[in-house]
Amino acid sequence: MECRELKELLSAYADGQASSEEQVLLLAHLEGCPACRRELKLFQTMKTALRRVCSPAVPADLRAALLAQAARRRSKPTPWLKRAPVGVGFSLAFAAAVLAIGVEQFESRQADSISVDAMLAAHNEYALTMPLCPQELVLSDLSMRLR
Amino acid sequence: MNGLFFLLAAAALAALEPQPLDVLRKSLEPSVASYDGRMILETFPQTGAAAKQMRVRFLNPGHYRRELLDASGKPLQIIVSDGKSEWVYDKTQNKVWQGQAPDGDYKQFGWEQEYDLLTANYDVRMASSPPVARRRAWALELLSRRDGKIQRRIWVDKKNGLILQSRIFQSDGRLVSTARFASIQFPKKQDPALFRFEPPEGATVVKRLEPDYLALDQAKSASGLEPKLPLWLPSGYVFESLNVLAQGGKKVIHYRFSDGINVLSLFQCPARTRLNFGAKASRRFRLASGPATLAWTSEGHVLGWSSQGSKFVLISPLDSSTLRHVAESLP
Repeated sequence: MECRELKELLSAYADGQASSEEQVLLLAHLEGCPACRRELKLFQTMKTALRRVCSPAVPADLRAALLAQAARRRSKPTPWLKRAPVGVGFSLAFAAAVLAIGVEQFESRQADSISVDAMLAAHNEYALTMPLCPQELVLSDLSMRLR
Repeated sequence: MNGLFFLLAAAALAALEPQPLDVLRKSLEPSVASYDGRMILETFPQTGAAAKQMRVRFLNPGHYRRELLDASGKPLQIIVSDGKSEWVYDKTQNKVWQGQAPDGDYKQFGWEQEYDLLTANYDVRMASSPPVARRRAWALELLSRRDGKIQRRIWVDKKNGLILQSRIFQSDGRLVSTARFASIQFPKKQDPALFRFEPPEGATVVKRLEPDYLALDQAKSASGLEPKLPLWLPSGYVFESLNVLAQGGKKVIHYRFSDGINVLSLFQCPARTRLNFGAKASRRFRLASGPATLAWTSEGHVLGWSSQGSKFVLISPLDSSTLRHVAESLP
């Protein structure tokens, strides 16, 4: 199997969505391919980083207070940045832009994502109303309804 | 002379035995008997098996309390209903889910229609019937008219029509689960407080999905989506009703099909959504319209794919080639 054929699989594997059959194929390839190992590592690092930056929603009052504080600080010069060489400032700005794009993309992916678990719960909720459904069997497995 | 006597006695006894459809009808009627029992629930996935124990109390009308027990007989989870609301309490998480109790009224088909559908798709016959939990029972087998394979075997209490034991088989004839009473009593009185629930101190309380139904012509206005129904359904299945789910600010249509026993669910999601299969075992699957994902769960197969900008998901215990046929028939 060639590296380009595995690109999509690498992403699915990093997302935990590769089937066991695909995992076997992929792991066999990774053993002998440092380039794909590096790529997988990159996927996993990005995933971890994005998970870290995706924090719970900030309460409205705390957000307002933080914004007010930031506005006050913006009006004063920041000595550290003033002293920093141009290259450092550029690198920081670039890193921030990359992170912002990453976060935006991740958040839009999250917002557009619909969980199959919620559909399974709806399916089971309906199955409970069927004649001859042994309700106790469905009710004995919380995960079948409360996903 | 003796031979003739026995022949006549056997004929008289046979005449006293009810017809299978009468027993089925009796078992489907809402229970009027209040009871208190212990059930054994077993599942037989393709590898291994699991058994659980549940204390089940029922108080007519519609009140129930089910306690899933650990090995020492202490409740791990408690499910309580007063006939309208249902609370599910998980002790280990100290979490309560509150919602409406499952109710046949949340669908378009009434009891009679569902019975007609079931008997149109399944042959019902009597089987040998040893007692269950020391109660005399009639045993019924329901066989699919599609392929003659057994789908359900139930044991019905001769006195009150309660289903004492169920065995569920997959479409290939494999036994997948059983639910049976190990013991049961029919007390005249039960404490009504058992059927009320107050969340314990500090417990997290969350609202559950509310079951509901809509007719097909209400789908568009309720969801904003152009409804798409499959042109082909497996033999015996009919469209029953739909519901609109709200997920993360998006509306999803849930079309519900049934053959009287089993359910086939089709979900239609808006354009530009991504299906999140979580960590389910899955594989790529090819449909005429393009690639799809096929996963396996305790409910059966889950097939997800894109078509004309929308995302669709099918959930059913039916085999993957039947699901492919349904998916490919979408207009």
